Amino acid sequence: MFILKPHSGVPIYRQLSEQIRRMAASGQLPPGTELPSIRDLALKHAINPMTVSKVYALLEAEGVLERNRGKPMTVAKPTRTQTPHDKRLEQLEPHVEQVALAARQLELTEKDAVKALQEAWEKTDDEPLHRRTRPR
Amino acid sequence: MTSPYIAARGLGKSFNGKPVLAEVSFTVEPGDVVGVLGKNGAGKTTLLELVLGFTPATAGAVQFFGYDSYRLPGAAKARIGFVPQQDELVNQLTAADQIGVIASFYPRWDDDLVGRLSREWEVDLNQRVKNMSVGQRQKLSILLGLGHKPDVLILDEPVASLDPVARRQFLEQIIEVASDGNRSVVFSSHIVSDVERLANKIWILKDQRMYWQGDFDSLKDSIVRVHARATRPLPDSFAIPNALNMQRNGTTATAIVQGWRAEMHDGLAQQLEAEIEVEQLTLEDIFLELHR
Amino acid sequence: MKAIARLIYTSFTGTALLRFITIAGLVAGIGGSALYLYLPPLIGGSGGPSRFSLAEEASFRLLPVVGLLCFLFGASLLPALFARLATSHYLYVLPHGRTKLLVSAFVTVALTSLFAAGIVTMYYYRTPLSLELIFQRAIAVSFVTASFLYVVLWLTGKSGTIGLLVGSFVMIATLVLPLIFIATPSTSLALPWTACALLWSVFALSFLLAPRLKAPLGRWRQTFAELTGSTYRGGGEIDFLIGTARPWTLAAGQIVPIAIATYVMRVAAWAPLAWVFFLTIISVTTGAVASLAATRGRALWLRARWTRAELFRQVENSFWRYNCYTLGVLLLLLVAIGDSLALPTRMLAFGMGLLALGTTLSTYIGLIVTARIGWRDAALAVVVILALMRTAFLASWPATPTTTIVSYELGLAALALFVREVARRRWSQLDWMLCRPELGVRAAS
Repeated sequence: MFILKPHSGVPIYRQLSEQIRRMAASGQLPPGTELPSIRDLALKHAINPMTVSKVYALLEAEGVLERNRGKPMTVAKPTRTQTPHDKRLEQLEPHVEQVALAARQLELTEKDAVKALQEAWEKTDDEPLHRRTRPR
Repeated sequence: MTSPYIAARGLGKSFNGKPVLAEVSFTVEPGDVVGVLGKNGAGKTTLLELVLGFTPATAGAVQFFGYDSYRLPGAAKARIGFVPQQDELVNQLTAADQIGVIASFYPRWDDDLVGRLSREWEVDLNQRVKNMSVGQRQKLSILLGLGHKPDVLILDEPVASLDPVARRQFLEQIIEVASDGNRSVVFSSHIVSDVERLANKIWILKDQRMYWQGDFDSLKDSIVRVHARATRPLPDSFAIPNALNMQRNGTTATAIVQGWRAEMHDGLAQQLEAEIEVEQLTLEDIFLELHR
Repeated sequence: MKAIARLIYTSFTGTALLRFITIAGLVAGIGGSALYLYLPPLIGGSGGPSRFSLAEEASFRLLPVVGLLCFLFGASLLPALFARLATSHYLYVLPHGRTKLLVSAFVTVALTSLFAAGIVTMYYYRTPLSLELIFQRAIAVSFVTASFLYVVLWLTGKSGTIGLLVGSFVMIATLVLPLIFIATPSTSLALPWTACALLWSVFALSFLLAPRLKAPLGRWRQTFAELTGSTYRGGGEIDFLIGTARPWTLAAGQIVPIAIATYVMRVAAWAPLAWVFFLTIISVTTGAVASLAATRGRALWLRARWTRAELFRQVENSFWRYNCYTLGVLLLLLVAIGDSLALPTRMLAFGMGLLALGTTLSTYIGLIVTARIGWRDAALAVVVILALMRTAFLASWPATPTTTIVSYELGLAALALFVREVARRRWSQLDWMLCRPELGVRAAS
């Protein structure tokens, strides 16, 4: 479900919380989806269960997840329709900055970068990983 | 607020007048997974020996479950598991007998757990200890520390001789232990990647002192690599505050900065008249940079 | 060639202490011999006038022997070095490693026995006996004895430093052998030379062929271990961890040197005097096992519910259960030998007391080793062993009044209580950071 890299510079808790936020915001994790238990997630990724518990607690406080007695954590119904557009754009920023920086370092032009982005867009559209249908 | 399992204040140990450890204070709360890092000779094993009461402190005090470590009572010992760096196995016995001997000391021993783990970890219980490889011996030592379901598990370099598969199995077992929010784990290891996965608290020992201790996530946030790029060659007086070391090259500079906070980004960019980029480091990088 | 020379050199000078002892031995041996040979004849004690006092003459007489002992002890690193290298992986990859190691061991033993033979021959300088004859006998016997002694040192050395100390005293005890052989010219030389040739051929062959023998030997050892190996059947856990779970090994192992010595003593009719003495020394070997108790006790600190004081009591009890076997065997042997050699009852009675005292004292001296052995501990050990030897001598001499022996034995008993108190106190403050297992010493039952 998630892709975690414990040895990148980014702390694990941040990687996990951002991924859950992203996927909940974009609908990839529809409301009501059950998340794995703390123990299972920790075991699967070989990380500290306290980290998982911290992330779950954090996201519960933000309203992204909700706790049900006796049942695993689920994705909460969005209180406002969805995460606002500009908030989602904000989450995309760091990744786009990386692309821009890489392009500059490779001495490519802005047009090259945009073209590459378009090609990547086409490519990811064909990936079978995306099970949900994107509104066209 | 539950009282901590282990508490140390101003702990120090001298040996023949030479200090081996000085001014160490910390707590281990229920549910903590503490990773102890340090170069060889920094005092890791001494610290663990002090905590477990093998040796008396020459300064300060350390308490385990509220008791003075050097005089730990029997009931407290039954809640502690220890896996030493050099195994203390009896050569002539078979693994099964070795487990039997150790198990007899404890009021409760989980035979099912030990049986299951010995199968998963491929430890042949009928083999004599002296015929076992180093890795097998280490796995057996770990089993002996787990069988009585201790509340606090302390391990000194537990995976030094294990292959990656065995290490991963060990990690998973530690996660199982840690999933019970009332049990704690303290382990020292050179395999920084394992510590990186598991620890929520890090102790870094350097020069016989506690150089850094605290929450692991805040360690990662606080020690970063800052890249500065200016449009003009940097002046000689160029300096980045709180930098542990810095390298300059014409218009660019790289420094390891301690105590970084996200808010400092803009202020620094303005102050240095340069573009600032902040790179986060892996635990291994942090460790290396601290010892440069 | 270089490697062999290097190995021999290291055997004699491996540590600073050994270097000192070797050189002291050489100086004392050669210097003492020179003194003995070229000074005017020592006639003190035979009523004539002499330039030196009795004490000075005695020291001149004994100096070469002391030198010899030092030299022998100076090479005591040989067995440990040999054992370590023999079982290491180096030997498989170093060119001609096995042969060179074997040759160096042989040459070292030869050197020490040459030195011994030389000194013994020197003592017969002014006697009418043929020096050449004496030398031949001396070299034959000393070579056998030296080989045997280094094996003893190797065995006792495995159990730590106190074991080494004990081994060196056993060495002194068995030095009696060459003197016996030389003093009775009727005994044929064939015996020691045959024994020697046999011993070394078997040893050399098995050592050189070891790589090829490893597989079948491994299977033999497995079967042997299964038959005699300690299996845990519940109870006696502490014995496994402290190392006292197999008392029969030491008990049975004591029979071998006693059997050899009995045979030799029979031939030389030295039996009554040396017997109790010898047995007493053997009873001291328990100390070697006891000296490791503190280090091994580490494993018990966190497992068992005992405080340090209780731990001491439990370990002490464990050793008493262990000692019952070894002491029992020794007592039986003493009675059997005394019976067959028709030793006086008084000697037997005091001998039994001495054996019990020897075992007790050595156990507690082993138990006081709770950190690196300091000079105080070593001095205490030496004093105790000398006291035991002295009492043994007295007990085996018919002329000694009973009260003297009784008072000596009572004194030894009091000493035992004192040593126990020291051990008890040290264990209540045991610091395992000072008590690390030596590299290569693994917990063994």
